Amino acid sequence: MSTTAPATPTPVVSTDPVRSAPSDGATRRAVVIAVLVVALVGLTLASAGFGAVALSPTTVLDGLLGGAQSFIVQQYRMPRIGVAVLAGAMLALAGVFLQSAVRNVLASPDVVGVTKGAGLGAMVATVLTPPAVLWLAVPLGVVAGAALVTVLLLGIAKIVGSRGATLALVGIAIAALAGAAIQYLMVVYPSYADQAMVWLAGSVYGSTPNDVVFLAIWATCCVPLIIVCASRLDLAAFDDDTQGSLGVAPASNRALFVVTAVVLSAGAVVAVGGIGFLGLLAPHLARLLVGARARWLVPAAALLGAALLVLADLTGRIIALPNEIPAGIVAAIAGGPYLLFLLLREARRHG
Amino acid sequence: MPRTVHDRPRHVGAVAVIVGGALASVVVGLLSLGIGPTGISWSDSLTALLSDEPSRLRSLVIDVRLPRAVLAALVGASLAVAGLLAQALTRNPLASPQTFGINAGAAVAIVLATIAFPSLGALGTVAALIGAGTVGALMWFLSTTGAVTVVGLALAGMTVQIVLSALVQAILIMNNSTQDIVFWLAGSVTGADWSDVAVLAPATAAGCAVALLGARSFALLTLDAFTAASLGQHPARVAGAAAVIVVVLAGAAVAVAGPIGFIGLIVPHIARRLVGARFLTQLLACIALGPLLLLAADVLARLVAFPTETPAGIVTALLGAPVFLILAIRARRA
Repeated sequence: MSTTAPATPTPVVSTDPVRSAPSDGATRRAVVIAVLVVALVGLTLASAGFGAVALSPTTVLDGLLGGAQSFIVQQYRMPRIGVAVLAGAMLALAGVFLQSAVRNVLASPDVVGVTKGAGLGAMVATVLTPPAVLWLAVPLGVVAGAALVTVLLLGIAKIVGSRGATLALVGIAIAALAGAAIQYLMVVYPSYADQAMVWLAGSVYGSTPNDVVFLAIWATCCVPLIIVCASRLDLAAFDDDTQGSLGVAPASNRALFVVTAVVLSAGAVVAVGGIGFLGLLAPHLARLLVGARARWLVPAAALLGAALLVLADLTGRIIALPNEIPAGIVAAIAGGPYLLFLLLREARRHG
Repeated sequence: MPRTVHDRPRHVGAVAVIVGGALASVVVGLLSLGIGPTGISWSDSLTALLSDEPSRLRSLVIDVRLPRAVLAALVGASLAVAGLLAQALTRNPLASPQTFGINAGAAVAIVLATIAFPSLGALGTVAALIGAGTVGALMWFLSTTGAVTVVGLALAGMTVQIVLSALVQAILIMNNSTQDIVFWLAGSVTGADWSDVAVLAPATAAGCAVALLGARSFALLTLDAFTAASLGQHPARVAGAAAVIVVVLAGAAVAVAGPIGFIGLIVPHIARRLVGARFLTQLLACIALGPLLLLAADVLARLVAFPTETPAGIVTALLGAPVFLILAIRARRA
């Protein structure tokens, strides 16, 4: 009996958590997590230091505490990073739970169209409601959009089965439809085009302290869900019969995972739009680094998601000075080849 | 898939579809001359078209609206034929210039080329052909390895398409050309002029002519190489010719109209449904129905948000993505 999820792409890593000495594996994983934390802090300082006014790490720390450059640091740089960290972590966790729920390594919210659907929901809410109630309408719109796409996807999964590439292709078709609808609304309501561009491509540009607060509240509300899901993630890797004999109700577990994934990705989309392939990449990398056990996988995926989005944003800001490439575009260019790699490896294995 | 036997009523029906489609294309094309932000009645625009007297009205119809309609027709035919050949070549019902990333490959190449050499002009088509050819060769190689499933190949193609579209956006942002993003993402025939037609027309004519002349050979692409060889074919050569036609048609269409999506995917399926399994009739039906669909999409694109114009590529994506969805579901069940 294997403890690695069937969703795991490789017959992962030499360190089987059960067979290897527990302390040994735990130490290694703890070190990996610690390295990820350090990397995230380092990226944060680098990202906060980089910009039209270059700041040294000490100046950044000083600015955080209200020093000389506190305006730049607190009003411009940190909100952007805060949003990237939170949204990246949320998208990565959404990927972990959705992949587990449908037992398909390709089923991340950005591949199967959930984030595009959420973006469309946001756009529809924006153009239909008066500006005064947007603060309420947009979050409702994203959740509705993400939920609608997910229900559609799961309905189709009933017909075609949820394994393999078909579900991903179906999701990409849904994403193409939602993307075209966003582009259509962009053309019809040009005054919202800038905002629509964010939902279409994904960007952390122009994040304000309010965005961080909003996202932090959303993420905090998700914490109980995340904890419950994480506690059930290991058992969800077993097949349904085994889960049943272990006293778990697999169907309700899956529903919980899906709901959590939808709420997490919807929150991220409100702030940054869909970041291409982040929800695919982060869980896979995390699994390679720490294995599939939830207690390591969940924090590692969240840290990786945060770090990758900060990195994508930093790259996008550096690469085309004085212009900025939206983080979502950087992520799509970097993450897409990984999806191709997964497909080809899968093909070679079966071919 | 080609059957040697086809019944007569079906044959008559196929002729009706082809002739009817061609006539309908002409009618929609003429109708489209009367639609636009400058309010000209349809009869006025036709009169202007037929009269010799130079007038403001006449130049509007002749120099703005007519080239647009002609270009839409050419792009529609090119993409539809390219889609049909791509589907035969890879034996994949989900194949098309767009779903296999060929359109996006052409778009990246042409955007890069225009930025590197701003005075490139019509030579940008060459860049488009190189871009389309590169992606086309990659996808063809993947399909011939036989290891990738029908759905896997389509997924790989869509991934290539997404990555290359992101690359197009990044390149345009780097060069302060964000106003062009929607054109290079969705494609459009807005602002077409006769020089665009002059670029595309030879490619469309040549591509369709070769496809028609070689229809008997291309029909055998859907068979496996062994059977085709035993029927006196040189499968590799035929496949190579088909691949070149796909690249030329798609590349040239993208060069003038941007990566208009889904026409190349859905028209061959509509044609197959309407005219049955014979490859030559399918090809003719694609040449008749491709223009009809894109002209109709362009008319719709002008009307849905009047007087604002929607790029035709957005309309084709809105219509085509659900069809793609259904095809993806069916590909699995088959």
